[in-house]
Amino acid sequence: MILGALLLASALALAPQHETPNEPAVAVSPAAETTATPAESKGPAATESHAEGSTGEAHAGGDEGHGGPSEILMHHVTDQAEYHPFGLPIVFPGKHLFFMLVVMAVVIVAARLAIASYKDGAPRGIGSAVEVMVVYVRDEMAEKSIGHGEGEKYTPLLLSFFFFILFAALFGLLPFTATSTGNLSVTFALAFISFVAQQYAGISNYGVVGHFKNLVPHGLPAPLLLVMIPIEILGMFTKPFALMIRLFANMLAGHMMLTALLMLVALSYPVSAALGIVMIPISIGMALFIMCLEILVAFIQAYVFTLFSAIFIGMYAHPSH
Amino acid sequence: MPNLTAPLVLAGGLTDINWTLSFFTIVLFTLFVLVLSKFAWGPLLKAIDEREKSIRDALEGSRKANAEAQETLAQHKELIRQIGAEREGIIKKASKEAEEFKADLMAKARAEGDDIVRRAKEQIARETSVALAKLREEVVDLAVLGAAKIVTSSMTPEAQKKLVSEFVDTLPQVKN
Repeated sequence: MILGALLLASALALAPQHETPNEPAVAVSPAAETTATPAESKGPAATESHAEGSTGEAHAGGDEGHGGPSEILMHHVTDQAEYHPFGLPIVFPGKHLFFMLVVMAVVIVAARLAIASYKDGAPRGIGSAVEVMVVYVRDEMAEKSIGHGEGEKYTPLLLSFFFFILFAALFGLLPFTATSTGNLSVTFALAFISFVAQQYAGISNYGVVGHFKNLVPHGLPAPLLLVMIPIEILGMFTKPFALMIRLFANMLAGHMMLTALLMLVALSYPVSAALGIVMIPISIGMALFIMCLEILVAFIQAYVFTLFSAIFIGMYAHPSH
Repeated sequence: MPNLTAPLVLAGGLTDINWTLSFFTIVLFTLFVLVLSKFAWGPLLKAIDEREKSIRDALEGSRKANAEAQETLAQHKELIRQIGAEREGIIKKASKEAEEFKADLMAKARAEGDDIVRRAKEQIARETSVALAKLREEVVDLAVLGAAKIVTSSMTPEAQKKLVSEFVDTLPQVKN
C-alpha cells in the first residue's frame, strides 16, 4: 500500500514536468527516486502496468496535457467508459462495472468457502467470520426490523446488500482497484432494488390498494390527509434516495480524501522542493489514517444500508409499527 | 496503453447517472442475489439453523436429563428416608420384644421361685407337724413312763389315774 502511495506521489510529482519538458527530472525523495526512475525509463506504458488504478491514470492525464489536481482526483473516482483491467489489452465497458463483477465473484467465492469450512455443523476459519455477520444480519436486522418469520424471506437480499457493499468498499482499498459503490449509478441501482423490495413487502402483505392506503396512518382528520398523502408518497422515494446518496457520498469521500492527501506532495513540490519533501510523511501518514478509517466506513456503510433497507421493508410490511 | 477517450468533465461526471450502468447493475445484482440465495445464503442459513437447532435440542435434552436425574435423586432420597424409618421401627420393635421377653422371663422365674419357696414352706410345715405329733407321743410315753415310775413308788392307782388325767388335760390340743 505504501509502495502504491509512493508511486502515486512520485507520478503526481512528475506530472507537471510534462508541461515543462525542458526542466530536468527532479526526484522528490530518495524513496520516490528509486521507484520513479525505472518507471520513467521504461516509459508510461510500464507505469501503466504497475499502477493502473491510480498512477497510470495520473500519468495518462499528464500525457494528455491536462493533468490538473482536480482532474486527477476526478479521474480516480469517476468511471471510465473503456477500462483496461490492470493494464491488460482488454477493453471492458467501465471501470466500476468491472470491479463490481470482481467483487460479486469474490463474495460468491467467500460465501462458498464459508460453506465449505463447515465441519460437523460448525464453521472454521472464514466460515466463522462470515457466520457472525450472517447471523447478525438475520437476527438483528431482518428478524427484528421486518418481523419474526417474515424477515427470513428478505434475509438473502439483505445479506447480499451487506456483503456486496462491504466487499466492494474493502476491495476498493486495494491498490489499482476501484470502489463500484462510489458510483451514483451503482448506488442508484442498489437503492432501486431496495425500493422494489420495500414496495413488494407492502404489496405482498396488503395488496396494491391496501399498501397505498397504509402509507397514511389510519384515522387522520381529512384536512391532514391533504398534507400527509403527498408527504408519504414523497417519503416512498426519499427513503431509497437517502440510501443511494449516503452510500455514494461515503464511498466517494474516502477515495477523494485519499487521492487528495496523496497529491499533497505533488501540489506542494512546485511551491518549494523542501515543502514537497516535508509533505511526504505527512501525506502518507494522513492517507494511511484515512485508509484505516475507510475500513471502518466500509463496515458502517454496509451495516447502515442493510439496516435501513430492513427497517424500510419492515415499515411497509407492518405499517402499524 | 489505456485509451482514455471518456471525456473528463468536472463535477458533471461525479453526479451523473449512467443509466446503462444502472440497468446492468440492477440486472447483475438481481442475478447476484439469486445465485447467492441458491448457492450461498440458502445452504449457509440452513447450516446455521441446523446447528442452532441441534444446540437447542442438546440443551433441551440435557435439561430434561437433569430434571430426570433430580427426580431420581429425590426418589432415592425418599427411599433412603423410608428405609431409615423402617429400620428404626424394626429396631424399636425388636428392643420392645426383647424387653417384653425379658420381663416375661423374669416373671416366670419369680413365679417359679415363689412356687418353690411356697412348696418348701408347706413341706416344712408338714414335717414340723409330723415331728410335733411324734414328739407329743414321745412326751406322753415318757411322761407316762415317768409317772408310772413315780406312781408305782409313791401313789395308789386311783391317785395316779387322777393325776395323769389332770396332767393330760392341761396339755394343749394337737390337730391332726
